Amino acid sequence: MDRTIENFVLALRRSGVAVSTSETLDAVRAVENIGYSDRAVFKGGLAATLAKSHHAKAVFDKCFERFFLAILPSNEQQHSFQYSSKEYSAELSQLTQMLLSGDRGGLAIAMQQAARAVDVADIQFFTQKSAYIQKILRRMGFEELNRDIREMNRSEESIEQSKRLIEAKDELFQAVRDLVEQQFALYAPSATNRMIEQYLAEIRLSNAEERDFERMHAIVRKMAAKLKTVYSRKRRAAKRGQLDFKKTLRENIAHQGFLFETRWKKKKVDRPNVVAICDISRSVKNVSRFFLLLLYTLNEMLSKIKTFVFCSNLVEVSRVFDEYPLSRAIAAIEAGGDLGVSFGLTDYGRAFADFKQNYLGGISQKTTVIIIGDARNNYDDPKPEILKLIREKSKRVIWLNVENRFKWGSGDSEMLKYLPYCDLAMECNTLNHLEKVSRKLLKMRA
Amino acid sequence: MASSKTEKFASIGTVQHGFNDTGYVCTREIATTIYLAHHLGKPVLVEGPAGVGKTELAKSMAEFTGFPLIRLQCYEGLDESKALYEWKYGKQMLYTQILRDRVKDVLEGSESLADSMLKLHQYDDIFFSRQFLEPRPLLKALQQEEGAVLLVDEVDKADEEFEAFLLEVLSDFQVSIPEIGTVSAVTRPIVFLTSNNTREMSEALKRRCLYLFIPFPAPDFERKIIQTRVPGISDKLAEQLVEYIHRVRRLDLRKIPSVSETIDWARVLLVLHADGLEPDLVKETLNVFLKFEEDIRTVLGQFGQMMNQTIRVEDGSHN
Repeated sequence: MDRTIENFVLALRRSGVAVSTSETLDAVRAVENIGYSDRAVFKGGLAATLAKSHHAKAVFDKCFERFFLAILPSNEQQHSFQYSSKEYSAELSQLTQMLLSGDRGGLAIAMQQAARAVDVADIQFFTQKSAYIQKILRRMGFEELNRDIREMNRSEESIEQSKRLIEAKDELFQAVRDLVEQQFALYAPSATNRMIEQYLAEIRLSNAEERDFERMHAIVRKMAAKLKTVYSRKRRAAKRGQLDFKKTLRENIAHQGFLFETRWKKKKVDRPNVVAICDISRSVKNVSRFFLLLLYTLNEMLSKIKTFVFCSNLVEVSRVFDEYPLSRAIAAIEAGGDLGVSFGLTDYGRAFADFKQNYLGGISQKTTVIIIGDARNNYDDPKPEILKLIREKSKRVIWLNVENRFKWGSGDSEMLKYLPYCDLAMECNTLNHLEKVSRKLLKMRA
Repeated sequence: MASSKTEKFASIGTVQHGFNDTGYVCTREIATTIYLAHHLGKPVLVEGPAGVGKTELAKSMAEFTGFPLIRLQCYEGLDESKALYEWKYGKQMLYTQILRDRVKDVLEGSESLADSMLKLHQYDDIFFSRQFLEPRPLLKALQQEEGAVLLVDEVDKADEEFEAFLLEVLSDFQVSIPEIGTVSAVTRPIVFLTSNNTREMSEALKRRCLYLFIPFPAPDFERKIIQTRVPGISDKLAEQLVEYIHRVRRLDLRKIPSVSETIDWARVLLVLHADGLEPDLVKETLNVFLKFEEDIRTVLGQFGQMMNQTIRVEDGSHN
């Protein structure tokens, strides 16, 4: 049974549930205690020791059903194997004999043994499926079976038998294919998933296809969650300060002035104060969606964040982020109409002018300004002097450009004119870049 | 005690039965986990939506085993001095005052300052001994000779530092007190940790615990709970009530009514001498299980339809 549990743990791990060695040992001990006669109890015991969160529990349930179903030989289709043949000769191979006699149990065992012998549990990618099917069939004696069929075809009287054998062979093939499919579903999905995730993290955001968006959403969210824990840990660490002597004296008056209890100065918690300005014109649309996604998650994390979007004119959207759930907020911003965004030519100059006129008062020496866009201004006046003003008023300006550094300043890109007024300007067009930026943002608070 | 304890944990069935006797209706899964917790000597991390009986589980465990329940309520800023032990400063103070005169006697005859220091060192640990130790819940639980049920409630509300500190207690059932040394458990307490999932618990903590997720109970089960908890309720009312609550839970609400609120509602209806659900009665008592104005409005919006469905289902099942 230990071997089975080991395999089951492997299946869980491949599906993305982190199971430690000590937990595996617990599971073995649990099974020793409760036995495996009662399926529900057995499952409950494994769940208590192996699946340690609600999410893991869901994966566990799926895996458990698949795993312990796969091991038992199923009784379906049994009728089709019932060929009661008396006259097959002893020189036929074992596989042929089992097929002809319809020995369903024997076949299932042979199949499991073959599967184990070729280590089907190592399967990682769907491209390996057919290779594994072939390997298992060969182990079970497929070649001998084919030889037997050829032999039978030679003589007239056994041609009927050979026809049945061919049918049975097809079914065997199906059964093995099902087995490999099952094993693949059991052991491989996360390997494939992980590969896709890795690929998506590196691919340029603008090249990502529509159908991958959901998956990327999930990655960004995961990333934001990671950042969130890092951030909260920092914040807590920042709370510890020096000894507050005055307070300590005051507190210890009760003890006749003996200093028993200490009081500490609490450092003021520095909450990042962020203003984000995001270009949502069509040229950067695919990318901006992900910046909006990131801004949305930041908006949940940081209490002081103001978000603006612009195309021709500039509009504040913080309220939209606060009020709506993620997908609706992004859809509302992309539609733009109700918010008063007009999708004309991108105009950085006008956007900055709008900002200066309406929102500059909200910027203080503590504010970090993040600008997201390609700085392509359609040859209009880029008004870098306003950015200079913003820079002087704020703590720092960060520009995330979706274009490669080499392209900055080419054509209608005004990036080089803006560059002197940015504390940090980075190329940012993959999720990995995005992660680096958000990390920097939280780190640069001092 | 020891023999009856082994008896009580003889099988999953006896555990389940024993809990039913204390008034806690538990599923086979819960019973299995508790059975394992006893036999593997591991803490149980209980998660689930608010009000499904996580805390109640620990209370029933105390009743079932006959051990005292020691409860530690977690909150942000909880530290060792509140959870583990504290020195009795006042008492230490008082004793210093009283013994002040004695110090003179002790130091008499010593020639140099170094000499008197040496003499004082002999009495070094007097003020940091067990007599001056104020045990807080965790230490108290370890000190119980018979055994105890330790409930660390809402552990997700505590800081991460505290969680790390819990690890030593949970894996080895011992704590280190710098002035005294390591204190190990006399008898291993049965430990429950509850979490409302406001934050993900650390892997290290999870690894040391068995995990139990208690979801909202299935209708049949909830009916059983109601009937155990609210004796005297008619079968018809219990059935309709649970059916109705389950319909409410399917709506998009800010706060979904919990099991404890279902019980409250059942009690209220019983006090009002209700025999079955009546539209007016339900309307007047919605605030027992709905705690937000907008939730009440949502439910009232679909009131007639839900009422009809509930009652129709009842008629159907009685035919």
